Amino acid sequence: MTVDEKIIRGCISGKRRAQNQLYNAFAPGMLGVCMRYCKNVAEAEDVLQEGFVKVFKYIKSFRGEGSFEGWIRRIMVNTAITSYNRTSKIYHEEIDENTMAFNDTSKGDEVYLPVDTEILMQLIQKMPEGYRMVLNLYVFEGYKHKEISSILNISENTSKSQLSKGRKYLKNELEKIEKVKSLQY
Amino acid sequence: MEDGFKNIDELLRGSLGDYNKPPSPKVWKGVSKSLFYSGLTKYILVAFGILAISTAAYLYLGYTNTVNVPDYSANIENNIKNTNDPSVIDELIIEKSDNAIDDNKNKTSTSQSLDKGSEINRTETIISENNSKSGKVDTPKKAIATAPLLTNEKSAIVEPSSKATIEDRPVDDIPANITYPGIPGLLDNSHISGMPSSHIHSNTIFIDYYTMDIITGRNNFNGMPAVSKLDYGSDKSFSYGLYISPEIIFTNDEENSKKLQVNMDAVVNYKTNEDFYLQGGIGIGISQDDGRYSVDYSQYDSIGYYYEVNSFTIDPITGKPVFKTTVENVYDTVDYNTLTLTGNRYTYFRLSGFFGYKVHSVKRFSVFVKGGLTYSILAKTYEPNPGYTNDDAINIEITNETPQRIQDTWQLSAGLGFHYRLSNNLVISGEPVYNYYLRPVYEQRLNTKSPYSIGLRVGLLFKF
Repeated sequence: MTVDEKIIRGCISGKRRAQNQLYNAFAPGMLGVCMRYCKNVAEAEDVLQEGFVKVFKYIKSFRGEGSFEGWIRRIMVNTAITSYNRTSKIYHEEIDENTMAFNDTSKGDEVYLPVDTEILMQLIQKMPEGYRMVLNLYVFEGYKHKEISSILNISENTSKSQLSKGRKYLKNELEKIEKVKSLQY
Repeated sequence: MEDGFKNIDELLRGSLGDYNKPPSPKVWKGVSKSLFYSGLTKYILVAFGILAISTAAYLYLGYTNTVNVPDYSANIENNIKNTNDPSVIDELIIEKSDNAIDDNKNKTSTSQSLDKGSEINRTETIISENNSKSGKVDTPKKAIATAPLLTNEKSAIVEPSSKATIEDRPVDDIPANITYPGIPGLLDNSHISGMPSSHIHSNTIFIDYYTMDIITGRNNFNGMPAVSKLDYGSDKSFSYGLYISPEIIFTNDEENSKKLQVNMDAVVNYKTNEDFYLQGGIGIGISQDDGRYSVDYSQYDSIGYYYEVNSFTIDPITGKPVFKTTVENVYDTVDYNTLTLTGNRYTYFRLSGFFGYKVHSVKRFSVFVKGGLTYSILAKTYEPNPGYTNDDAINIEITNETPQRIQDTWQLSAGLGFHYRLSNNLVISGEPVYNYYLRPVYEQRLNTKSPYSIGLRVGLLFKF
């Protein structure tokens, strides 16, 4: 997605029309990002709203380094993380490497068929929050466990275990879906 | 399975990496509302800016007429030391030249000439600290001090306690507590003007030193500036002002949305008496509002999937068929609808009339009850075209759903006016105000109630 420089300048000047154009251009994609971090659409829309207010407030600080979409995306992710840290009361289980290895049963040679995106999104949203956050940051944003541990204020091992459990959770859910579907035939 | 994903991570990235979904219109509404209130802070800062400039003007202009009081105590002490008679220690007589006395229109030159110890022909009394407590003026004695006598020496002002008549009373009994009407701390010579010359003793401090133009320039009397009737606040006077007033308009319709309007008015105040004034104003009001456009568009999108059976085999154990399938996504043109908003701006020409009645006044601060009527007529409209951008959309159809504004409207206003006098010619005014629109601002909406607004008028009033 590219955005006209004129629109960005308009947003910097505080012009409502330009802000609306920018919003219309990026809101659908950013809602997709927010939905991955939240448990339902309503919560994702709250994050999206808060994120766009930040975008318009700090748009002057965008220096043109990197893509504009990437900049907005970072703001949305940070807003989602802030929202998570604000509301999270989840107990992060501290485990050692051995426990993690024991839990990680994936062999790495599985092949997964394409799944309907809506179903996959629902699976992500139904995941325990801790799994979801780590999975998103690792898989979609490309953070390392050390960085994730710093962002979420957890230990590195916890980050690894949450990712492992998250993958396992998804795998199990996908297998359940496959079973149900195969029984339909 | 060449269409499959090697692992969960790849599946997630491939399926959800570009996932998008149009948000509900309430999200933009919420963003817009937050931006509205953050924009409001800009006007609050302007109001505080005006307040800061006014305060600076007050500090600079309000005291430019003050006279520096030289420290003459050392001079007096030296003269006392040079005096052989110890009885004069607390009873001092100083002399002042007639020229200096007459030159009461130019205090600076007077004080300068006195500073230099010019020749003194006429005696005056400075009340010593001890005697000032007793409230009496001392009789002249032997010692002569050459300290300068300034018209604004605090030591020359006798602390008042009550009014008294001085005719037919010995000079020595003249109480030092006569006050100038309305100005605590000043002697009034109106009582003395009719006195026989024999009663006018050299130890009397005349109000002649304190003619009104001097009083006007004086710094402080008991915490209040001396103000003559020629100053601000006189009866039946005109003053002129500039106001800026941000308002939040509550549309009071089914959406109950809030709009921002900023008014700038030039006003003329006519003060009919001490407590009542009329105000006429002319100005412009700029109102922000959303242009609403419904956008219908189509987009090629996924609507589901199905399993395509490629082959099957019979399970030898169970005897049931085992299907080999692939998932096929189904795409079609899907219709969407979204709301897009534009930032419209409406400029109104305003005529206003107010009255104000003073209900409370303390020192420089006054509180007025205000009421009035404002007529607004739409002078200029700015409605930009909506710019809907969606690279994947086809068949875009945009419908303007912006309600039509009415051409003119009347508002009834009520509020409070808080006036603070910064100097004799300058008043800062802050006026929280409630406005009731006699008609809805939109023409096409049915069954709507009249909107109302709350605002803060901040301005400066000048008197030339």
